[in-house]
Amino acid sequence: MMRLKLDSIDLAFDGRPIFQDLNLQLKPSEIVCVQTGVLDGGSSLLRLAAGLLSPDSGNVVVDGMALKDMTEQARFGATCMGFEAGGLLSIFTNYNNIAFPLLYHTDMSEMAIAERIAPLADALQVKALLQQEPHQLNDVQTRLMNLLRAMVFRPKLVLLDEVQSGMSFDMRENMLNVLLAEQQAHGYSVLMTTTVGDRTDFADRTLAIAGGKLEPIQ
Amino acid sequence: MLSKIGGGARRSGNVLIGIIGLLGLALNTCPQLLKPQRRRIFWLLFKRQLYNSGLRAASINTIIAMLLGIFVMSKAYAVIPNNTQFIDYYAQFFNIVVNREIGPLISGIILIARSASAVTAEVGQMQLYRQFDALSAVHMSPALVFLLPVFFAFPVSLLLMFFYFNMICVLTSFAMIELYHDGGITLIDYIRALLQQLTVVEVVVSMTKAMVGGCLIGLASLYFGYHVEDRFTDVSRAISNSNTFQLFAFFVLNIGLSYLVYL
Repeated sequence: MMRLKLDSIDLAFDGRPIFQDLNLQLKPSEIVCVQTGVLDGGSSLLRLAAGLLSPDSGNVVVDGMALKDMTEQARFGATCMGFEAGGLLSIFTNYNNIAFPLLYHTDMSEMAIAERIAPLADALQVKALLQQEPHQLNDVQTRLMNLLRAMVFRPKLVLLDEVQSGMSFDMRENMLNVLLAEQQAHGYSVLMTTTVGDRTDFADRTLAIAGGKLEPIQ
Repeated sequence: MLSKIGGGARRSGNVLIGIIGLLGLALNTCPQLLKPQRRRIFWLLFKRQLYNSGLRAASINTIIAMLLGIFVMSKAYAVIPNNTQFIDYYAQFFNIVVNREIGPLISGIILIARSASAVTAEVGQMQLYRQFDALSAVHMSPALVFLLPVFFAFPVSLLLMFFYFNMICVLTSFAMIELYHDGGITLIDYIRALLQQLTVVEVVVSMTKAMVGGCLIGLASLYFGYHVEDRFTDVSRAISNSNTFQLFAFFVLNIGLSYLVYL
């Protein structure tokens, strides 16, 4: 069974077509990078896969079940998106942005949640930022906090929007090492958009958006 | 002109329908509180809201209540002779002016000015900067995170504010009695006279004003904040429209209830 199946997706904004008959399949534990340019629909692709956007036609299926038919609890277990910008609620601290959804959807105790967050935050070198608020983070820290949240949730499919952008070489290497180790440990699939200069060598496949469809890059 | 009046009535009707819809959604979301984990999140957010809307209003509440206590008792002395035998009249005057009418009205105005506009601005900003997407991304219900804390905290805040306002007013008005009188009326006498004036109906009406008024103000602030669109000015417009609606609705509720029960 495919982990993610985007089936004949059409999407347009204000009559401007973004995707036409787009198809994508991700196997369990597969990592796919999608190289994106300006306004070519990279973020929209991830939002579709996360169920944050509804296609004009076509289906988004995770583990054999259409996203639109899932309960909020099932969706929580299915996908989590790491946003390129924002993605954190300003009324919560960064920590609560991660802890509250876990508390909301699972039976984990607050202690167990803290124990799951702490080592990963340490590994990503953002532990000191957890008690701060989202407005205190710069754009790279915001992306790292989004990534941390996705890794802490351990869904079946992690969706990451240009997570490597703006990072120094060391920071990016560390981030990718942590992500790949977690992905190996928990077996989730990863769909990541990338931009010029980002690493894609760790991916099982690299695709690009061209003419409203996804095409492989050799 | 007729079309303008019609347009205004239609907009007001839409607001009322929207607020009734939010009320239904709030009641529909309440069963989620049976889950301990969700109740924990709600409780944290409820306490935050209660602190912001109820407790942090205490200083302005105190100042206005003190000024009103001084003013009301000064007026009482202008119409009722200065005599210990007239303590019941002082109490009656205080009860009718402060407890029945001005106390609830001013507490409601403070809630609208301080807290309801803050909630509208907060939700409006979140709508403007697409922060509800963040909530959708973690599949949490906005009704539990935003609606229920306001739905419960606003009526409780207003009730606390009524009580607090009246307490300060009682103490200040007694201070004025002490100042004007040569002695003879104690605080206990004054409170006893006030309690004798107070009926169960008045307590029920005051609680109804707090509960219904608090709900109405809270739901309206969320409704207008949630209807912010893409322009920056939408937030200020939402606050302005929200405050106008809340003031109108709260005055109608207060005067309507007083008219029905006391006249």
